[in-house]
Amino acid sequence: MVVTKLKKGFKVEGFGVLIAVIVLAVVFSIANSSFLLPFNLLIIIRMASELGIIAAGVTLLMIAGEFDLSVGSIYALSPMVTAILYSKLNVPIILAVIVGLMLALALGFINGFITTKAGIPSFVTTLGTMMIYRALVLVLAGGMPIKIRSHSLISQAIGGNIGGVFPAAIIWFLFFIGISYYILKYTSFGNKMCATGGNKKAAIAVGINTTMVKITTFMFTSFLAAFAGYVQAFRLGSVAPLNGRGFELAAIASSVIGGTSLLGGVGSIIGTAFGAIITGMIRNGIVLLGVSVYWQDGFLGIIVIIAVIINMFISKRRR
Amino acid sequence: MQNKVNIDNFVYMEGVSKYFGKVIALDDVYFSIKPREIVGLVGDNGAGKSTLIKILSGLYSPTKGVIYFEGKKVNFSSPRDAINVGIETTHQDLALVDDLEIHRNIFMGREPNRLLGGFIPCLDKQRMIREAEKALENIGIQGDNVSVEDTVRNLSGGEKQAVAIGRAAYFKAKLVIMDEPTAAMSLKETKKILELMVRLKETGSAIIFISHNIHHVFSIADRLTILSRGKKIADLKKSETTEHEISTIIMNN
Repeated sequence: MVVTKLKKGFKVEGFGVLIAVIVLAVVFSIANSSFLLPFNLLIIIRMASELGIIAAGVTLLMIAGEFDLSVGSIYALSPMVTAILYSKLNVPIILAVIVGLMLALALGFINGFITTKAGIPSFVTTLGTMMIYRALVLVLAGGMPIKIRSHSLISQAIGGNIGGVFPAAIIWFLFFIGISYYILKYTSFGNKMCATGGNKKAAIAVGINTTMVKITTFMFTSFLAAFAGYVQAFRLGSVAPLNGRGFELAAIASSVIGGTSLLGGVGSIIGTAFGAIITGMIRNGIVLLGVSVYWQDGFLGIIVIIAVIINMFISKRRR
Repeated sequence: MQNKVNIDNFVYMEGVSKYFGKVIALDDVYFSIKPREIVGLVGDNGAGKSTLIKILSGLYSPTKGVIYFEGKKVNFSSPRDAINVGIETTHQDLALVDDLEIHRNIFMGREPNRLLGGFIPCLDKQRMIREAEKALENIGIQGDNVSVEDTVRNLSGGEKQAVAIGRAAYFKAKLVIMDEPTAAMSLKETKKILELMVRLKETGSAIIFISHNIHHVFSIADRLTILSRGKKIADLKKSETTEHEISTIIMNN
């Protein structure tokens, strides 16, 4: 029964994107046979992981009817604060990470609070906070990368390799996709998110505190963005002030490729996971194809447009 | 002339006013409803109907006046408070979320949980589906080729209204506020909705029926309250008036 249920879920959720993943894989592997080597696939998924973690949060937020353009800045700011606390002020790494994650929750709260209380579009709120949070990173770092080398358990667990080969990032990617899927599909909060983004007035009429739902989702999204930032920071051993620039749009692109609506109320976490993998495949495949890397975003743009057209077609057919 | 709080009037709004800045949307209105009574709330645009029901459903707090529910003074600071005492509001466009399945709509905001492995809270989907089917069945709207696992988007206006009514009945609402339930409906669907409203009353709910269509309201209401420019101008039992008289009162104000 569980299997048939899963099948049914996949048929609706992320099925179209899965096809796209397969088609891309076939195309790239024909062009370069090393594309499908396990080693290369691991690299692709690892590359997709950081973006995928951010995109999971962004998807939930879009379902709740809001955008977050500040995720790329938070992706840099929290690890940067941790790096400064740890490397310059000798704060224990675990404490420095906790402070950074708490900061992310606070930044998400600010996004949500301004959006709901001032009643302005979150696109505008987070456009503003994107710039403000980025400015904070640059000011704190003095424009320079800061080292965050540590052999502690926490840095290994977040950004290391299991058994020296398998990136922990992938585990975290799967973990946060799982958590987000669970929240969306199997909690009452998930239902309230869909209601809030789908028809806010109806949600209010049945007594849902839509402000609380939105602020909480903003905070979760920021948390994931910061966490993804740690994955990268601990992998590289340093934090650069311009980390994560453009991730806000890449995360939205991943969500949209996966079938999440820009209008709220509708979205798929599994689709987003595939969407993130597609962006990883393109980045990797373009290199293997020997095409100029300048084409990366252009290719991704084509995929975004095609995906939205297909998704629209599918949802019309379903009606 | 106003009757005081008594057991008959389980909802009693006493001298309720609502100002928006200098605009007086509602001016010293007395409104009451008995258990299992259908009260038609009628009046022209801007009469104050929707302000009145927004106060009663917890969306607005009154500038002046007191609300009694089952003899006790109540203070609704949010729709949640009104729902908790048993007041449901359904609005033609606002009751349901199109992209959610019927069962998720019925339990929206009141989702049942079970504990997975003893400690992980998890939506009790089986129960939601089962109970949603029961909710639709109880009000007599099952078997219309509608599965509770379908999204609401595919439903007709009448079917949507039926789901909203089914939800109110399922949660044993003491008072259901229905805002324009028959607007933009076909004749056939209108007839069905009016029937469902009568059935809702029979299952134990009182109903406030807001509509511009006097004919629809008159056909099922027990009493009619007429508002004009924020004031109550008439409160008539159906047995003591006619459709024509109601229309005339509204027109002449």
